[in-house]
Amino acid sequence: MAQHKKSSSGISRRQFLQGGVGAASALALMPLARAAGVSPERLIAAAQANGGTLVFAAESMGETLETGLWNGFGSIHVTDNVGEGLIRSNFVSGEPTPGLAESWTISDDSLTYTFTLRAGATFHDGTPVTAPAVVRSFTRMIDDTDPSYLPGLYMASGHGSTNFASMTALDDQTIEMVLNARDATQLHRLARPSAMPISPAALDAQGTDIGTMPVMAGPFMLERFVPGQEAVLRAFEGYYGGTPAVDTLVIRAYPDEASILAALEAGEVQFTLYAPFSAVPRLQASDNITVDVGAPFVDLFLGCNCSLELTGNIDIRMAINYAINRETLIIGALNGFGELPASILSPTDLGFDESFRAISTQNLELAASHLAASGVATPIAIELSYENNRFWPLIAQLVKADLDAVGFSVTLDPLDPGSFWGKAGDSNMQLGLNQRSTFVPDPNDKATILHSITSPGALTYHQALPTAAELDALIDAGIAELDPAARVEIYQQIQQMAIDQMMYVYLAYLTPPVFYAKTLANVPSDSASSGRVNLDSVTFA
Amino acid sequence: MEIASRIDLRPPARRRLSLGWLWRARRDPISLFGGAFFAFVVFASVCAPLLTPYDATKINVMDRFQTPSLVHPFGTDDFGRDVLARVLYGGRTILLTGFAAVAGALLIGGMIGVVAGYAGGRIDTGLMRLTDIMLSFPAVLLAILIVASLGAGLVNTVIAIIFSMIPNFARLSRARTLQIMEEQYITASQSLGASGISLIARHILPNLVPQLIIQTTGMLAVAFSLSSALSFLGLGVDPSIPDWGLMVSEGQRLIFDAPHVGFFPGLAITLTILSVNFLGDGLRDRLDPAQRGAS
Repeated sequence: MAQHKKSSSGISRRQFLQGGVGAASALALMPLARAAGVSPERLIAAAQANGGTLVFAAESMGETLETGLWNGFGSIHVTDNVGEGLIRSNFVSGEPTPGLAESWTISDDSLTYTFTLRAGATFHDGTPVTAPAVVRSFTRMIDDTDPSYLPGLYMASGHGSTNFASMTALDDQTIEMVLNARDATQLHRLARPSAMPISPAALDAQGTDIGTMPVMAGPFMLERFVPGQEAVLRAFEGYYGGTPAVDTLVIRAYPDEASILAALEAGEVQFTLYAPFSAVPRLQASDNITVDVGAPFVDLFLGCNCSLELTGNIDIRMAINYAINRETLIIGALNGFGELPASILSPTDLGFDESFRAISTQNLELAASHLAASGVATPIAIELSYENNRFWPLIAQLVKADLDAVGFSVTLDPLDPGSFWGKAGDSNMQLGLNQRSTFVPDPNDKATILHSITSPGALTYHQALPTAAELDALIDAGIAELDPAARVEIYQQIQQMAIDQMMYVYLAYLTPPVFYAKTLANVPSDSASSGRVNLDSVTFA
Repeated sequence: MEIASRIDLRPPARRRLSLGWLWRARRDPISLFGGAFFAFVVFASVCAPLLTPYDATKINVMDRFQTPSLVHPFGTDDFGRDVLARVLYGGRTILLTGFAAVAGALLIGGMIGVVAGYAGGRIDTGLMRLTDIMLSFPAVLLAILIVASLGAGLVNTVIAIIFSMIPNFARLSRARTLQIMEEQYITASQSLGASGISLIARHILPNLVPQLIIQTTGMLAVAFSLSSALSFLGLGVDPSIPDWGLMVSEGQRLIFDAPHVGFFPGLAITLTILSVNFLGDGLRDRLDPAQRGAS
C-alpha cells in the first residue's frame, strides 16, 4: 500500500497554512521561473512539497542502469527521473527547453553549439555540475581510457556522439560542442537518457559498475536499485528546479499486466502505463483511478527482412500490407487504443502526411494480385516472430488470421525479448513485430530506423534494397536541413519511399492509456505516453 | 522330479478382461465418476464439431467479451471467439499431447527399465544413473529446458514431456523386472533354454502390464498438467491453436474484466486431471490390490 504521509482527508491547520503559503509563493515566483526555463508545474510541485511515496509499475526492470546500453523501459523510467540532460524535450510543443543548460547559442553554420550551464546545479553526491563533468559524461562512452568505459555502449550514437568533431569545456560553466555535420535534431538528442551527465566522482569510484548506482543530477536520487526488480528514488533537495513534491518514488517491475492491474486497484501502485487495455472501461468508471488517453507517439509495425528471399520480394511485402485489417487489430488487440497508421512518422511529427493512411486500408484484391505477381506458389510458409508479452501475442494471432486467409501459412514464433533480438540479430527472422517510440519529438527520431546503417538492428535489413542509398541520402538531408518547411518536404519523400518499399508494414499508432490514482495531480500524461515519464511535477492532490 | 512336482513352475494366470468390473465399480463411485468424466472429455473433444456450431478460431471482434449466455454458454474472448468451442477443440490438444507423451515415455522408459533389470551389471548401473540424472531435475524444469532448446510447438512439447517422464517408467519397470526375474518360472524357462527376448516377451512384459497401466493413468495426469503448464508459459502449441493452458494464460490478463475467458479452460484442466487421477486410483485398486489405499 502507498504510504502517503498526509491524506487529503486528514490535513491539519498547520499543513493547510504551509500548503497555502507554498502555493502563493509559487504563484509569485512563476514569472521568474519562466525566465529561468523552469516550468511552472514543477515549481508548484516543489512548493506543495506534500511528501508521500509514489509507486510506478513498470513492465520490466533491467539488470543495469548503464545509460550507454538499452536496458528496457523500466530502466529508462528510472534514468528519466534520476537524470537530467542539458536539454529537456517538451512533447506537447515539440520544442527543446532548458535543462542543466540554462541557455545556448548556435553558430550561423549550425555546427557549433555553446551551452551555459545553470549555476548551482549539483549531482546527487553534492559535487557541482560543471562543464568538464558534463564533457566527461559524453566522452566516457567512446573513450576507452575512461575507467567506466565498456565496449559497445551504442546508445551514445543516439545523442549524436558519432557526429561530434569536438566537445570542450571552455570554462566551468560553458561547453562548446562542434559537429561534423549539421543536425536539426541535435538539441533534442541531448534530452535522451544516454546524454544525462553522471558525477565524475561516481564514474571514478564505480568504474564499469556505474550502471548499478549512477549518481546523476535529476530531481530524484537513486537510493536503492535491485536489478531486475525495482529502484527506490528519493526526492533530491539540491535539484535546481526545487525539491519534487513526492518524497519517495518507487519504480517497480511487475511480472505481468494482471499483477499491475491488481496492484493499481489495490492502491499499491499509483501510476502505470502497463495495465491491460481491456480494463479501461471499468477503470474509467472507478472512483479511485483516472485513465487518460495518450498521444499517438508509438508506431506498431511488422518488420520484413529484406535480405531473405521470400520477404525480400516486394510483392510479398505488399501482399502482407494489403492483407491486414487494421480496424480489427486496433479493436481486438489494442481495445480501441490505436489509430490507423500512415507511415513511420507519427501524427505529432513534423512532415506527417495524413494521406498516407490510405496505404493501411485492407484490400484483399490488391493482396491477391501482389501474391500472384510475386511468383511464389501458395500456400506460402512464413514465420512471424514476436515478443511474448503485452499485446504482441494478440496482434500476432490477428495478423496470422489475415495472412492465412489470402494464401500464406503463418507459423507463430513467440519469443522472450532476449531471444527475439538474438534472432533478429542473426538476420534469419522473416517477419518481426515491433514498435518505435518517440524518444524525442523530432521526425528524425523515427525516420532514422529507415537508414540502412540502423536497418540490421531494426529487423528489416533493408540495406539490401536497391533504393537504400537514395533513402539514406534523403534521411541525411532531413537531419542536416534546418528550415522546417524544407524538412516537411524531405520527410514526405522519405515516407513515400518507405511505403513504396514496404520494409515496414505499419499496423497502428498506439494511443496508450495512462493509468494513475485520483490522488495524483500534475500528471504528465502526454509525454508519459511516449515512454518518457518524468514524475518530478507530480503531486498528491 | 519329486521336488519339481511340488513347486508350481507355471507362470501366473493372466487376468481375463470382462465387464464384471463395471458392476463392481459401483462400489467405488469416485473412480466411476473419474472414468465417466474422462470419457466425456474424450468424447466432447473428438466430437467437438457436433457439439458446437462455432469455429474455434473464427475472429469476430464485434462479439468480443460477451458474458456467458444461451448463445455463447461460456461467453466469448477478446477476439469474439466462442469460449465453449475453444474449450471443446482445446481438449483435443491436451489429449493428443498427453496420450502421445505418455505412450512415448511408456515405450522408451519401459524398455530402458526392462533391459536394465534383465541385463543387470554395468548396463543396469549405467541406465539407472542416467535416469537418476534425469530425475534430479524437476519435471517441469526439465520440460522447460527441452522446449527452450528445441523451440515451442506441439511436437517439441510432446518430446519434452516424454523426456521428463521416462525415469518414472524406467524405474518402475526395472523394479518389477527384478522381482519377476526372481520367480521360479523364469529360472525354469532359462534352464529350458529360453532366450532373453523370449523371456522378456513371454514372461516379463505380460507381468508388467498391470503396474504399467496404473502408472500410465497417473502419468497421464502429469502429462496433462505439464502440457498445460508449458502452454501457459508460452512454450506450448502455436498460439492460434485452441489450448487450455494457453487460454488460461490469455485469461489471466482478463481476470478482473472477463473472468469467463480463463475460468472455463481452467476448470476443464482441473476436472480432467482430477478425473484421470480418480480413474487411476480405481484401476490401481482393481489391478494391484496390494497397493489399495496407498496414495
